[in-house]
Amino acid sequence: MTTLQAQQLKHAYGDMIKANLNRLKGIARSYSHTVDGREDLLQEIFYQLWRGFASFKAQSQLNTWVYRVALNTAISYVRSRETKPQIITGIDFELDLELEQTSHNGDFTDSADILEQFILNLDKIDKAIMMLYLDDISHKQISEITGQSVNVISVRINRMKQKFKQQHMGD
Amino acid sequence: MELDQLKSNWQQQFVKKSQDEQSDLEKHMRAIEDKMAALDRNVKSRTLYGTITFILMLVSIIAFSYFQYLLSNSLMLVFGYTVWVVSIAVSLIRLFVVKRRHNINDNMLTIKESLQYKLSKVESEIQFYLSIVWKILAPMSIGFVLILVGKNASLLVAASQMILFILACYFSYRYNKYYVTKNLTPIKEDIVANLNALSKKD
Repeated sequence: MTTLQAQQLKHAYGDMIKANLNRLKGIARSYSHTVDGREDLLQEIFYQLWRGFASFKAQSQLNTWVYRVALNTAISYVRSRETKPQIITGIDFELDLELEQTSHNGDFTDSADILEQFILNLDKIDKAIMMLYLDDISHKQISEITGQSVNVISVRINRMKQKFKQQHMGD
Repeated sequence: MELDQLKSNWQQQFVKKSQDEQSDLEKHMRAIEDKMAALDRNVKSRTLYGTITFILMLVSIIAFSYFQYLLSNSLMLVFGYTVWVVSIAVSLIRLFVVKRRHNINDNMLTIKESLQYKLSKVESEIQFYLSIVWKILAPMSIGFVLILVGKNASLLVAASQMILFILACYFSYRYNKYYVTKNLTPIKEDIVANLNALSKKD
């Protein structure tokens, strides 16, 4: 790869991160309960996106690809935290991306907090589907990201909607 | 309250870009890119060091065996060291093949494919650890016996060396089993649980 190509790749990667930063922050928040965990996960997502970015061949839409990489990374990250705490050493990594701590001990009066709390309590797979749904990603695209059929996606989303309605009846 | 009512709030918070945030991000981008490049270099250099270490190990064992051959004309000794060299070479090739087979960026696959891929990866790893005794240590122990016979060592020396070797094999077996149970089995169980969660329809 020439220097020019490397520069172009860096710029394209930067643009992709800029366009998807809030989505990625949303994923980090949904898969980790702590500020440190969110920052770690976001770093890991950035890294995995960087690793795959050069070989991205536009066989799928860019945001479908970003979601695939980010959600797979998040699911693996939660697994690595649950099965074995890992400490990454050797590289100092500070991003300061304002991943503020959300208090889960207080009352969830704000609608965003209610939704966030609902998502935090879903299992890893439902969490992924719910975030895609909230981002208005079509069922077909969700199916391309998760590998499930469109019918199964519809059933799961309806089930989660029902669950949410039951939990917040009267709110 | 309906879920769809909160959809726009979520999008406002996590999907749409604000101008402030965009300009704030600019200053972080270069740092992110540099860190990514540094991480990449780090991974590449670790892979390189790992490969060099394996090659050096193999070369030094072959060189050691060759000097043993020059020092002694015992056929048993030569056979013994040959068995060692071959078993180490075979295990290195197996490691290389396993590593090559699982050398794709599985995060780019669908969640289901990625989980299936990770499952096959962790199963191969478990298989590898559990077969170390039979596929690596057992042939090496045959080589060890041949070396002892070839050296014409006294019974006491041969017995004590054999006991030490058997103990090393036993602890290696126990440690591998412990490693699989403690580290790999929970990963496998979690992947299987995720795959099951992915396929449930109710």
